[in-house]
Parts: sequence; C-alpha cells; structure tokens
Amino acid sequence: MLEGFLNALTPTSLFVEMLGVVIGIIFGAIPGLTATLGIALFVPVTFLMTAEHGMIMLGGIYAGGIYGGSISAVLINVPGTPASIVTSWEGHALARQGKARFALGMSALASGTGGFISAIAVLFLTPVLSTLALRFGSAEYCSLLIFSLTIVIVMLETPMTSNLLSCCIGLMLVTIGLDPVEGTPRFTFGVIDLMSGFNLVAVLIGFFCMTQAVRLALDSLQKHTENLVDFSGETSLREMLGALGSRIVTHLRSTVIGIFLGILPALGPVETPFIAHAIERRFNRKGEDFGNGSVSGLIASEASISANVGGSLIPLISLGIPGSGAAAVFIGSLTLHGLQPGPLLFANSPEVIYTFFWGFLAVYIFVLLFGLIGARYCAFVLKIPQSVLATFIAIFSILGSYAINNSIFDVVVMFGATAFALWFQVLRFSILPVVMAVILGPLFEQQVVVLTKTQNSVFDILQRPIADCFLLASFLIIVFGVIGRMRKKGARIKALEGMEQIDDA
Amino acid sequence: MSGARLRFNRAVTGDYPEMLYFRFASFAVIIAFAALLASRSTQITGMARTYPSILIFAVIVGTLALATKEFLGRKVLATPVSQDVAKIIASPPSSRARFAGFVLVWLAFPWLLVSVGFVVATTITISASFWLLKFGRPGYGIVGAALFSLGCAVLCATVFYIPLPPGAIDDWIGRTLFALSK
Repeated sequence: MLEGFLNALTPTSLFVEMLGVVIGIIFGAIPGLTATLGIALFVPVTFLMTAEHGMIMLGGIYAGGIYGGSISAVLINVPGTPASIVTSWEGHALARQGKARFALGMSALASGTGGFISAIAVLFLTPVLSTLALRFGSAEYCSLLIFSLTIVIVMLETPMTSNLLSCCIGLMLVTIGLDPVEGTPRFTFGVIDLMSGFNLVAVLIGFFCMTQAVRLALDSLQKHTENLVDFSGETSLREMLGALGSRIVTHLRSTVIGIFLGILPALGPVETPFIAHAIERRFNRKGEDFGNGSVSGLIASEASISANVGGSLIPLISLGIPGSGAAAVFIGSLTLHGLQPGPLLFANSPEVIYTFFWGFLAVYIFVLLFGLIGARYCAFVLKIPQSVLATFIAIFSILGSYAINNSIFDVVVMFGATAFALWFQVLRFSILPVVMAVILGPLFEQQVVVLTKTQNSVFDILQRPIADCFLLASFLIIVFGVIGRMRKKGARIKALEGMEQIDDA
Repeated sequence: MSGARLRFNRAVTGDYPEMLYFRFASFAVIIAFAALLASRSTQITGMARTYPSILIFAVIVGTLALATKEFLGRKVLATPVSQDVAKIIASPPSSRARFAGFVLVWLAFPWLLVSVGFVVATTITISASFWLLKFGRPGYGIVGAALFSLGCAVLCATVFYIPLPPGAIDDWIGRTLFALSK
C-alpha cells in the first residue's frame, strides 16, 4: 500500500491525474459528451502508458467528467451530463439569486470532498463493501425504487395526482422497445429503431438542453439583455467551508448514499443524485426549499454523484461487476492492459491496484482545486449573448444526440422529448416524475418481473428487513404528505374566503 | 357564465381561458395514446404484457380522474399560466414569427444534414439561427458558422471518430485529411 502511495505521487502520476481531470471536465461541460464517451475515446491513449497510469488517467476523466457537467448546469441551466440534472435545479436557481460563484464553489467542494471520501472507502473497504452488494435482491431493489418514486410524487409542490400521472406516463413510455427480461418487442409499430426503446441520453438532452435553447431564444427576442446569472458577488473559501460545515450531516448522508448506490450494479451516477436529493428532501428541515436554490440540495446532489463514481469502482475491482456504463468501459480497458478484475487482482497486481487507488484519491483533490480555482474564470460564459448561447446549445444538443449511435433517429427522439417537456410545462405538470420514471423504469420492470418469478407470496417479501424498511418509509411519507397537503389547502381556502369577504364588504 | 365557473376558469387557466380547452385536449391526447398502446398490447404475450398493461390502465384511469376533477371545478387553487407561454402571447407578432422561424430552422436541421451533408447544413442552420435571433451582422454570422462547421468536421474525423452525414465538402475534407495523414 505504501509503495502504491509513493507511486501515485511521482511527477508522471501527478501529470496524468491532472490531465485526466482537465479532459474530463471539458467533456463533462459540453452537453452530449459524457464521461463514458470520454473514457471510451481515451482508452487507446492509455496504451502509451503503464497500466497504473492509464487507469489513473481514465479515473481522472471519469471523475472530472462527472463534475464538469455541473459547470454548465449552474451557469446556463444546461446539464453537461445527465448526472448533473439535479445540480442544475439547485445550482442554477442559486446562480439566479446572484450566487453563481458560490454555487460553483460549493459544487466543487461537495463534489471533491464527496469523491475523496468515496476514494478512501475504495481504498480500505473494497473487500467488505462488495459483499454487501450481494445481499441486495430484487425485493430490495423494487422497494428502493418505490421509495424514490414515492418521495418525488409526494414532495413536489405540484398536485400529487398530476405527479402520480406523470410518473405512470414516464413508466409507460419506457416500456416501448424490447422487454428487458424476455426480449419481446413491444409497441414498436414496425419501426426497427424503436426496438431498443428511446435512448436515455437523447431523451434527457431533449428534456433539459434543447428546452433551454428554446427558452434562451425566446428571451433574446424579448430583448432580455441582462446576464443570465449574476457573477459579481465575491465568495470566500471560508464562507463556502462554513456552509459545508453547517450541512455536514447532509454531505455525509449523501456521500454514504452515493457510495452505497455505486456499489449496487445498475444504479449509476445518473440515477444516484435523484435518489439522494429525494431522501435529503425528506430528512431536511427546509425540504420545501429543495428545487428552488437549496444549498443542501446542491450538496446532496454533488456529493452523491462523486461518491457514486468511487462506489462503482468497488464491485468493479473486487468482483469484476461494473456499477455503471462508464465502469463497464473501465473494465474493458483493464482487460486490454492485461489485468483481470476480480478477487485475484489484489493478489496478482497489488502495486498496480494500490497505485490506482491512491491516484484516484489524488484525482479528487485536483477536482476540488480546479473547481475552486476555475470557478472565477467561468464568468466569460455569461458574457456570451443569449442568441449565441441558444444557437450553440441547440447545435450541441443535436450533435450530442446524433453522436450516441450516429443515428438521426436519436435526434428525432431528442426533438420529441423537447416537445414533450414544453407541453408538460404548458400543462403545468412537473417533468421531474417523468424523468425519474424514465431513468428508473427499465430497472424497476426488470426487478418486478424477477421478484414475481422468484417469490411465491407477499409474505416472502415481508421477511426481507431491508425491503420492509423502504416500504414502511414510503407508506409513512404518503400518509404525512397527504396530511401536510390537506393542512396547506385548508389554510389557502381560508385565506381565499377572507379575501372574498373583504371584496364583498 | 356563473360565478363558480368563472372563478374556476380564472383559477385554472390564469388570464387565458383558452388554456382550459388546451388542458382538456391534452388529456384526450394522453388517453388516446394510452388506448393505442392498449390495442397493441393484445399482440404481446406473457409477462411482457402484464407490466405495461397495468401502467396503461393506470394512465387512462388517472387522466380521466384528473380531467373529471378539473371539470367539476374542485381544483380552485391552481397556479397561473406558464411564464414561457405568457411571454410568447405577450410578444409582438414579429418576435413570434422569428421565434417560430428559429424552431422550424432547427427542426429542419436533421433533414438538411442528410440531404446536403454536415458542413453545409450546419453553416446554413447556424447562420439562419443568428439572423432570426438578430445576432450582429449577418456576414460575421455566416463566416463564424462556416468556421465552426469546418472545425467540428475536422475534430469529428480526427479526434472523436464520429462519422457525420456526408456531403460534397465533407467528402473533400475526408480525402484531404487522409492525404495529409499519409
């Protein structure tokens, strides 16, 4: 382990750590270019390096790519990667309140420290935590997903019935394509491109990037010449550390959630911030501020995403199971370097593995530094006219959708998703339950089918304590949510009646 | 119109009563789409059918319930009309026409990509977008768009290895890059 530590501090290691983070941040900040694409593109470059340096560089691209998405999310409300959607809600709302620099700094701080803690977990807890993942069966998965969806449906300010309907519509839409268990084509209408369903990245680009281009175009025509966000306010490191310190429980809770969900296969950096944000919204005293520029919400999102990246490396290294798409590409690159992921990796190549672990820890220090130092130079983005931003967001959205499979069909899907999101906005339905359903839907269906085939009765499910806890929590959230809404509604009706009496008088 | 109905209309649709009809039309579209999927689900068998059938049923019932609830006027405490829609309605006709042009230009972009190739399609679309959104002088916009398109085409060919829809100029760039790499 000590040899690995020293190897990770050599000038070459430090250089590849920095290079990986910078490349990752650039990839992450551009909508449509994801961390997975960055890793895949730079795998051939790692052949010029030793195995450990190659792994460190890919780790840097992964971590930097996930963080980089937050920069455009905070500044122009365009998530650079699907993982940054939650960050855009909180970070951009903070930026519009004149706290752009603070939001960028906080996102770097939460991301860097969350990732750092997850890297420590990777270093010391890999063998222990990987066994925990094996205890998570279909009952636990189903109950966790029900819990996440319940929180979103109950806690959003829009009416609960419309949230529930939006969620069902999202779940229904993702059934289009091949059935995830038996491979039966469903609702494809003879269109071959629909066999694989709607591409998630294209849908999310449509929901969040292209809609922002439309809004900016509208604003530019309305002569809204003021900056999108105010970047003038000074923010000291002490202030940011103070804000993080006062929300340390939020940070630690989200980090633990991120690591844990990272260990579980199928719950990657895209799904994690939604779940962590929803859980934090439930536990936080100011849960009603979530979605409107909550610092706790921003910390929950950023800490959980970065922690998820570290967490996903645990089953990857120890069991050879990829926890996300990027982790799957990572496994491929390990194999190409002649390393076989799994329990024997520690025995066969300890120097490589421990150098990578320490290098990965250093990567998050660079993410933190680049994020904090680079935040002050991001103001140039805000000097770009809205018409130019609208045009380039539109072109990157289209090129990003096209680049996924080199297919015009994905561009059409992206346009469809944009129209859908705008339609929902006009209807005053929240798009969030649809997003959650689209992201979690395929996994939910898969686990429901496995559950119905493996469990004989409901009582079998009730004998699983982890699943029971999630289901009980969901039930309590619904009960308290309904009571809270009824109270609020009663108060508003009283206020309305009072106003009518004044009008009559 | 009765007081209760007027209050309902104002509360649900803000200052734009036609939004009420839009909402009911939207509910009809959702139900029609779910019904279409339901009719198709008869062709599926086994577990692959059960899960979507439950969801389709939930969507139809949920939409009907929501529409009924709004029609009966029980939803008195609604929020006002979407800000973006209000902006479009409030903007002058010339701005509305330019905005519609912006949307159409980008909708036509994929078709243009396939027809004339990446470089030409991107240059035309970005230039048109700049002109519609009144950005600077048109000449600068065209030059900037052409340089951006060429840069993107070269990057996609040499760094990202993304095959872009080909046209005459794209083919020429490809041949030139191949000749330079020899």
